Amino acid sequence: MGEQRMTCMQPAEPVRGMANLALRGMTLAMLACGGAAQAQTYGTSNVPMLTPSAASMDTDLGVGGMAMTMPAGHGTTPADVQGAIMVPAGKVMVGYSYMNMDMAKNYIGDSTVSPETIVTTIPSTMTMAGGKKENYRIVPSSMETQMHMLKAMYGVTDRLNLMVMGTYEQKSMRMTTFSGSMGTKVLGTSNSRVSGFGDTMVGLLWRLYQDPENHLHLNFGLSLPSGSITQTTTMLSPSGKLMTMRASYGMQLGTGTVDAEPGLTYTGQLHAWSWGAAYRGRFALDDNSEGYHYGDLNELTGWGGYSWIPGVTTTAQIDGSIQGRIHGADPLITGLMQGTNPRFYGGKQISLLGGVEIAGSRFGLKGTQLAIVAGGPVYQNLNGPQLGRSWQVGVTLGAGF
Amino acid sequence: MINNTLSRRAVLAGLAATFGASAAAASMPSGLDVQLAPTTASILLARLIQDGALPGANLELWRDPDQLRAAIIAHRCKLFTAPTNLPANLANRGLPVKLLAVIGMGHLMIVTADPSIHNFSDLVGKQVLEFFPHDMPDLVFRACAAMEGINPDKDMRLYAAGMPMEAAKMVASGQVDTALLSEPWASAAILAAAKRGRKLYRAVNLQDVWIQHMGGDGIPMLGVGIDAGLLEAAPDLPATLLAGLHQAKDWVLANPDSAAALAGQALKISPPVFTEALGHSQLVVKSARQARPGLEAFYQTLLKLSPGVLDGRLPDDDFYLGA
Repeated sequence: MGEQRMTCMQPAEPVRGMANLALRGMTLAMLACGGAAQAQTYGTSNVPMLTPSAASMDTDLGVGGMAMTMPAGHGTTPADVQGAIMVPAGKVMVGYSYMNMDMAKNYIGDSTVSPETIVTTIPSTMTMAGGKKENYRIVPSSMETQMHMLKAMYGVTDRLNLMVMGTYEQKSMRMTTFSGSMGTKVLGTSNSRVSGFGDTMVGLLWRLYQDPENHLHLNFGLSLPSGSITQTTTMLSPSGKLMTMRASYGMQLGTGTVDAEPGLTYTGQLHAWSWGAAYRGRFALDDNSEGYHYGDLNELTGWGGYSWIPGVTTTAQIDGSIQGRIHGADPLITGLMQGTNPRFYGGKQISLLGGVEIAGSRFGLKGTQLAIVAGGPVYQNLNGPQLGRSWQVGVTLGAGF
Repeated sequence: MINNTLSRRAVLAGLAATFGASAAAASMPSGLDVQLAPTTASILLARLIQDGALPGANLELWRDPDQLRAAIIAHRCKLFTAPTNLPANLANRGLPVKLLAVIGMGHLMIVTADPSIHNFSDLVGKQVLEFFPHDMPDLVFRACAAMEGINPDKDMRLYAAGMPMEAAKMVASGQVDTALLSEPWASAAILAAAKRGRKLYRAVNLQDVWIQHMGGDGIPMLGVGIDAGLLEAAPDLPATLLAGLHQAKDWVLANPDSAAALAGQALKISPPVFTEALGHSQLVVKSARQARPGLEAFYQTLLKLSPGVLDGRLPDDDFYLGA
């Protein structure tokens, strides 16, 4: 949950893209008006055009004075695709990312369900006197996750990159508490908040194939359990008292487990177009110290990008993911809130996102990049009841050295 | 050793006389807009300007051929360095452009990370990256390949980058192994690759291939063009500039370190790259009229491949300036 992805960085030479475009247009127009039929397109056969990869763009030639007519942002990958590009040998890329993800509405399968339905029909794990299961009485209505990520990548060789990413998270959940043990009378609402460092990812990228248009590399990461899994929160109980207890699984800052994160990334580029696909997996290697682990996560992402002017690229992206339920349980995570049930995690999601990446070289900041990506789900089939995703937005600042 | 002071004085005196004599008869522009190609040979015109030979001149590097064409058409650029086919093309299309001099011979070469490549035959089946597709570098490459019995479209996997800088970066970084590059991009790529432990070779010099098959002294590749309107105002200007270019060339060859420093300022070429490129840039100074036989052989070759490149014909006699 809440994993952020390494952004790519596309350093570029200083350009005068708009000026060049204007001049090109003026040239063609004047030649046409003057009866000169051709400016520079002559009779040789068409040759496939190639544009520099990010690694090539980052190469300092020690020669200025000639702008890139091809888009500097070519080969762009969306800001939220982790480890999608590699840096050349000896190069360092650092980045800061902020992501805000908002969750709202409760889902069972691909249908939304009201809080009233949940509190009158879904039995909890709590047993009342007489052996009957008590229904859930506390239903989350929204959740906001803010993540601040610092990341770095180093090119050991052109084929091998190392990367590390640490996170600081702030989570807040708004819950509605229903009065007593049955019925739909709302007693009130409460908010719970947690914050702190999340899990830390270390990994490597290994280039499998590269030609001028195509690039394929293997990702392998380990998620290390630096995030707390013993956070507590306070919420309003059905009896009207404020209870302080261990926060639900989704409100914990880390997973508590060492997770293997394999992946495979393909990127392509031709002219102003770029495209790619990436698979990412996340598999807990064992239970954590509290006795559970998250279900296996498999994500597939595809994207396309187009550079409208040098250094400015827009991307469209589709993400699909499947995650299993939590296995095991933390005995201290209990109560009448649905998030305390490890079965109510995981599911299937498909999201559409759009993004824009702007090379800092357009503003004299060579080697820097600003990327923004935003979107939301178009399909969710969740192991509910659980909150579904509503929307997300991410901003990334990157710099290469 | 060149006497710099005398050289500068001679040029200044000539230009002053030229402008002074003609100023009464025709109005001269207050500042001459000069556009330089971002190549090594442009150092000669940069040296003239540095030495004060063109008082008030505004120096600018053009960034792609279309930018220069636009400036010439709009009469914003009166003096420029460019591939010699560019002014010929514009002149044949009716624009008042003349060729003053040739200042650089062939400086296109195959740069590769593959040490097994030594000639065009070795490129068969290989991927080769060129730049400026459909323009002079592409045409010269095709011409030289044809001389060697190679058809680039069939015998190799030919790709194009939009700009030489892109091609240089791609071969330096390892995105491609083999690229056609001009100077100083070839030197820049070789030095940039070396910093990363990547060895690049100058495998084939197209100037050598050309001479082997065509004879003569190679490809008259870079020239100095001039707006005809400027000649009306200063008819002695060609002779004066040619004298200055000769002296500038002598100064550059005698003072490579100073020339490298000037290249850093005027051409945005780092001194190490310029120094490396200088030995491969074939600097010459020939009046256009002197160079005409070689130019026409060059133009004929381009016309055979792509008539549109020169509007289907050789330039008229008055296109070539100088004695």
